[in-house]
Amino acid sequence: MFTPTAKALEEPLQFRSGDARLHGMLHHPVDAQQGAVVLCTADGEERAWCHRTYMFLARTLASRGVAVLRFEYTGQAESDGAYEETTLATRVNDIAAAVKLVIDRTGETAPALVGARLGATCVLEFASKRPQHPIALIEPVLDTSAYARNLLRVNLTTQMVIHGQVVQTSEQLLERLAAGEFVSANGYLLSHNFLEGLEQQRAAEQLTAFQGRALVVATPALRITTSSAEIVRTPFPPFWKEPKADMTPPKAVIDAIASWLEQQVGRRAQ
Amino acid sequence: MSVGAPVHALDTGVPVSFDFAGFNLVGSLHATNRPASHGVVLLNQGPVDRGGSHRLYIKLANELTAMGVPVLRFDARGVGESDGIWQAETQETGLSILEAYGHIQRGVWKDDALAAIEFMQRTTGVSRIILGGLCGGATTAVFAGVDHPAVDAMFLIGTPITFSSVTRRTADLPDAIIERDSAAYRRKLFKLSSWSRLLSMKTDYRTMAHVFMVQLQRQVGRLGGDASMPGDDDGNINLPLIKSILRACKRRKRLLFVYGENDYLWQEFQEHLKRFGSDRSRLPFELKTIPKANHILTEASWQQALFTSVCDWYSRIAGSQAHRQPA
Repeated sequence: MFTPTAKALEEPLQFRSGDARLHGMLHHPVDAQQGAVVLCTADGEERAWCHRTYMFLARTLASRGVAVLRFEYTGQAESDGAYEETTLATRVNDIAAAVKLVIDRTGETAPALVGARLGATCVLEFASKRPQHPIALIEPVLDTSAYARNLLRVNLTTQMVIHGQVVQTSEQLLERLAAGEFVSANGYLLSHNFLEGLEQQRAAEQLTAFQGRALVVATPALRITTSSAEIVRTPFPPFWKEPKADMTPPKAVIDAIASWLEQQVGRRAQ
Repeated sequence: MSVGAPVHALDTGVPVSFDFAGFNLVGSLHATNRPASHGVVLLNQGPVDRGGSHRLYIKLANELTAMGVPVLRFDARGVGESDGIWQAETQETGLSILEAYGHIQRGVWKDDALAAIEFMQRTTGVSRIILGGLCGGATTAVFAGVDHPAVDAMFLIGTPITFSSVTRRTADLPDAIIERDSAAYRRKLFKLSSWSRLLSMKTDYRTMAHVFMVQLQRQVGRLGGDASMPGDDDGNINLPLIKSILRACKRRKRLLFVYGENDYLWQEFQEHLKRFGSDRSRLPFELKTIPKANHILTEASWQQALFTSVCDWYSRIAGSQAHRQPA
């Protein structure tokens, strides 16, 4: 039923970001190191469904000589902390801690960053002040305000299923959030600070302004503002959601990222 | 739908790994510093990593370790951070999620669970084991625990009693769901907006027709003397699982079933309750339900109800074990 994955050493790591102890996995390259990458996951429920694709991506890159760090943000998966205490800023701080770890462990001075969905948004925020890092963004959340509204909509949908009607409107939920309460979206507790951060983020503008090396892998439906980034448009299933049918990670996305990273390493060698 | 509960920073344990049949399985061990009568092993709910949906397993592990119970969460082959890919994933057709659920519900991860039990005993020194899990984790627990001499008990959350690969057909839905959907359609007769959807062809006519057709067929069937409980020849039912549950009860293993009352798997389970005894008040296992809760218990109050049920149940098991041990 299962086939072992031919792969290199995978080393579990724990490292600190502020007060939190984060969980990571360093995928050592199979042969001589050809660069290093930090994989930044999607968020909350989307993170869970992304996980398989990230494992495939990490193992693919490691098999091609790239050192890869996968890690989890504070309050998510195997990292310590409480999700409801985190914000976009804490996620970006977590990325900074992960990048520092990779620099220390691999000797690469400017590892690349790969992010999917809200992870891509955080990568963009991090790299906007550090353009020396090549970045690859998979279906990035460029309209974070709409993303925040969708999270609240999840709560409304749950209310419909449980009560047959909406018992607390979006406005009422926002009032409760402002009063310091939390609102559940698929079991992840949203806070006022997190949603406020999403409202204020300007990811589309950051992508337009970004002057470093960037790749965006996106479905044809994603609206992308003018950018100097290389854009690969390809249809692929939303692997950040519970699959309706095929759960095999999207090969097109993994191949696009792997090829682009190889080009970056080649460019650096020249 | 919203909570003002104090924030609890969760401890995620220590990363561990162990070998099973050439596959490296990765886990997280929540150790305790006092001796416990049992260790708990939590089993993947499906193709979701060892933290569970919205970290439910991590929250549960924190509750149990607060009672002094060590907990191992781990990823089976082909899920989370563990080694292995499903063979179907290497083929052109890929792997459908329903296929994966179907394999899990037939016990594909039983041997992974047995390896985890051995690792737990070797690492923590506990001799007695309790298995637990949600959905697919519950089925794995039953298959792994029924014949294992060290497993005393299993807690089973949202256990699917039918195979996922076929439950999407309207004809396989439980009576309660058919009745609910049909009642919802009937209520819509009095809503202008529903008529507007119907006439503008926005209604899912096919599903609506299937719901009424299945309801009619079942009502006619009952008039003809058909039993309300589906028969053993229904390929939809996970008979190996039901037989294993019965065998576990016969072997005096302690079982706790927990369901959210809004989980359609609860409706299915009720239709099969007679398989476990004619008198509902004398079932060979404990059964708890959580009002309004859904399958993955997304609200904090539902999670708290689960933790209370599992921890109280554990205390009774550990207590009875303590009485037994001096003898």
